[in-house]
Amino acid sequence: MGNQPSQFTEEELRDYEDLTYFTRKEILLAHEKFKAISPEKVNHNKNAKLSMSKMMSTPELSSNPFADRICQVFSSAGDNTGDCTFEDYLDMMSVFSDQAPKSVKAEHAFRIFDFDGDDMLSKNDLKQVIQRLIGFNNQFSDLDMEQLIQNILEEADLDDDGSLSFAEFEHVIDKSSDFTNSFRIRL
Amino acid sequence: MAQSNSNSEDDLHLNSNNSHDYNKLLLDDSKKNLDSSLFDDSYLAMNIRRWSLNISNGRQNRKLYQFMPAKLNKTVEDGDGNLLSEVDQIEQITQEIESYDHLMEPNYKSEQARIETIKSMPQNLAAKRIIRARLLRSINRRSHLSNNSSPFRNCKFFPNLFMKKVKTWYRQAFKSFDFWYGSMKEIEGRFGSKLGVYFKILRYLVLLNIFLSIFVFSFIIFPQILYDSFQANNLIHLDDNGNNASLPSFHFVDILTAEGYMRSSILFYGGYTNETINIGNISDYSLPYAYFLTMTILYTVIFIVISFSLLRCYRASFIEALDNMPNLYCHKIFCAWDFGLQDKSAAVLKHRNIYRELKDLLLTEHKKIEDEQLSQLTKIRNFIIQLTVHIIVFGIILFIGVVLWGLFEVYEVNSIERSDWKYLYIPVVINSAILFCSILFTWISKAEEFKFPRMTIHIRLLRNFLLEISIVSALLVFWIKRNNSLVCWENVIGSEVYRIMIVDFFIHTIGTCCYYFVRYFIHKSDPDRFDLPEFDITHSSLGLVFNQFLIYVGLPFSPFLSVIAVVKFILMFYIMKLTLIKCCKAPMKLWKSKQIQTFFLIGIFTTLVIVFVVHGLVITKIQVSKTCGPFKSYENMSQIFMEGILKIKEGQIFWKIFTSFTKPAFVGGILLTMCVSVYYLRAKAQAQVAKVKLLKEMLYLEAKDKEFLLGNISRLAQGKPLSCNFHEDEDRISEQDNVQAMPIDGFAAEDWKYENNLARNLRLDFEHIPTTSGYTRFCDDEIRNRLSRY
Repeated sequence: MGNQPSQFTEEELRDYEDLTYFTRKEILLAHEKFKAISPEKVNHNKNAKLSMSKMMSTPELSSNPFADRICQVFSSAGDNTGDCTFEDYLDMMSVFSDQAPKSVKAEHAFRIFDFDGDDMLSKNDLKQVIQRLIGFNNQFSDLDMEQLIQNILEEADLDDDGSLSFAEFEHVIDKSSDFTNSFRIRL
Repeated sequence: MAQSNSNSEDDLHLNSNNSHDYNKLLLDDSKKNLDSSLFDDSYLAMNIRRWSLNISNGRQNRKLYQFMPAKLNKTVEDGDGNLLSEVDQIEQITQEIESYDHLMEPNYKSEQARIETIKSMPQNLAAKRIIRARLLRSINRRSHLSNNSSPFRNCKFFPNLFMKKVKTWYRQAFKSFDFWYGSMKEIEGRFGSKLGVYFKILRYLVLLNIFLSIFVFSFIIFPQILYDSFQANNLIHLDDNGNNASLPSFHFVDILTAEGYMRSSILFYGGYTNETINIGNISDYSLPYAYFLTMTILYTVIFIVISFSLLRCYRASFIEALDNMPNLYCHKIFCAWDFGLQDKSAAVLKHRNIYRELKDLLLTEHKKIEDEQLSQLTKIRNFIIQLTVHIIVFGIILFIGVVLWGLFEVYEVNSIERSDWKYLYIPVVINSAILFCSILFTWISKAEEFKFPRMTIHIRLLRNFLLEISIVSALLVFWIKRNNSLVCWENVIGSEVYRIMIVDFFIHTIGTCCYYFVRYFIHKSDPDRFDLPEFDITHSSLGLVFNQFLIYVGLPFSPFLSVIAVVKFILMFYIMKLTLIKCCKAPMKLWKSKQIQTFFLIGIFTTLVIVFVVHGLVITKIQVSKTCGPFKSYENMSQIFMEGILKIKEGQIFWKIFTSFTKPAFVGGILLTMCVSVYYLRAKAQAQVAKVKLLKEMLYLEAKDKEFLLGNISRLAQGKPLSCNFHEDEDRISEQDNVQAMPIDGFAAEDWKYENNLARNLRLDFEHIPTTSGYTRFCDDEIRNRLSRY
């Protein structure tokens, strides 16, 4: 990638360096990867908008049960289609990188798990999260599911309103040494 | 009494359920409003809810210092519950940041802080860019107004600027595309980040040893090679009796045994000269000084590096995540998915694992109650079993040590001819003993029934570790005790360690690899009956610790060991990767990755401390060989430091001061002081924990209180009377109060439970409530206060 003329100007690169957790090399690598998803489109326009299905076909997201949510959360389109531009992709990879601090990761994890977008993890959200985690081939009985959700709420729902707010979520995440490790995608 | 108690409790439960349902209805109502975020007629309820959230969750506080309004992108609402447009959001965030002076100063430090703040916002890049541009504009305007810009104002930030540049450079050079990046990505993509930890430890050790090798090579080995090439003509070789002899010819077996030709090479301590090398009359290079200083400095640096990584790891896994256990379920849900997973079949496996784990968790929940009622008899039985197993294990370890000692005596170096396979007997025995015991201990630990699975692993690790230590110490003590009778005891230890490392490679690395491949082919032949083998991360990592231990022990006696270790670890990486990818599956149960890392760092650190003690003794007390090595003109190694570097002669006052430092009483005193200070710090930490716990409980009560009041306010706001339900509840409570107004501490907690049931149907873990009288009094007062309000 070194010799071939970059699609970015110096200024754009510096901009990305300032606004993401990536170094210049990583930004260029991210663009290579983005280009690999749909070469002709990106060659034409370096910041092309790729559809969610295309984004979800990348190896990084293809086997992730939350892939659609990730696309939706990071998409700047604002219409919930989950279409992503390169900047969105860069943003996504930056948050999932090693350098991003725990609080930033927690913030985005919260939004990924918040399916209905009401800024609270309600019982319904938790149910969906669990269902996606165990895969659609496995099923919990309603009773077990209810018990699980109840247990989670018992642990984390400090103000006892039946759903988790961000502060409560962050509190739990803060106590977990594993979160940064698991909430990570290598570029 | 018990009968009535349970009855009334049922009643109350029912009742509080009612109130809870009612509350839930209310909440659901308000949530509907929020979901649609349209202009309904009950803004008030919703606003109150939001307000309550703000108060009870400290949302406002969070906003103040973190600038991370999570919902900004989607659900920011102004006072009337309307969604803010994106432009408004940007405006709002900009204003919020502008209100912080330390972020708005026109200097380098504040610029960095500003960039970090912008980076951490959950906005898309375009929005961040606009925010940054706006902030920059307003800063320029401000600085223009204040007009205090001097060309030197950034001077004091030069060090920061410099550090930042170095950091970015370092990251660009090493971090972003670190060693084996592709391999690590592949492994983590297929098996998850927890298994990746083993390879991370391996990579860490490779880097550490490369660092060692570079210094050892450039300061010790390279000068010696130069010296040898200058002196090629009159190279003198001494045989075991100290006489001159011709250099023995090279045999293949020498590579494995490190005897014969290899013995007098620069592989070992004895191959180094004690002379000052004079390079072309320009400068002198004293090899003994170089040898001593390089080793001392390297050990110190490694000690510091490992201490710091251990501290960082320990902090992340044990201190910051201290009360991890209570959040068992949350952990299992929110941190369960490994986002780095890229393989379809791995994802299916992961789904199944999570499913099974959650199922197990639910099952044990039901069983837990039974477990608590384990009879006294079973407890005693378990204790006896554990005790016996401990004794047996210690017996085995001791037995192996004794057997080794015997073997050393039988196969003493002098009794074996050069270039003989017999040299390999002892290393083979040592490595087989380690392998065999590792399997045995795993097997035994299944028989013991420890309360927590984690404890089983810890004890297994500890036993293996003890075994390794006892083996290495037997080796060291045996040869050091013979320092007078041997010609070059340093060489003997060096070559012994070398052989153990080489044989370890064949037995452990190649052996495990073969084992997995055999299992794989068995699985291939009959996939239904035989499952794919699981990769044993504990065993493999223990092997790494043992290897690192050997390097620390052997390095002063064999400087080349670090280079060999680098080669060995690199080979191991590829062999293990191949084995893993070809024929293993990820283990079902793994610990938390940070904890694994910490444990192995603890292992490496402990071995380093042990080695420090041993080498300290060797340097100060043990006489060095008179016929070989760089220190042959000295009594012991510390002399070179005292006489050569500090220029102190025996008998001088400084000499006395220095020697008194090494007296047992002095060392004992230091150890005692350290123990006392550790005890003090520990007591302090425990007090802190207790305090935090108490504060948490109080916070909890506060939150309850507010919730309760807010519930009432929202009722009022909806024009309903302060629900009749409540009066009923209250009556019941006071009845209960009367019934149970007994001067027993436990009952206060019971009252508190009812109170909580009233506010919301909440199940509390009563074990965690401290039952100190002060606390119950606090609960009591709280309840009385609340009751008096109605």
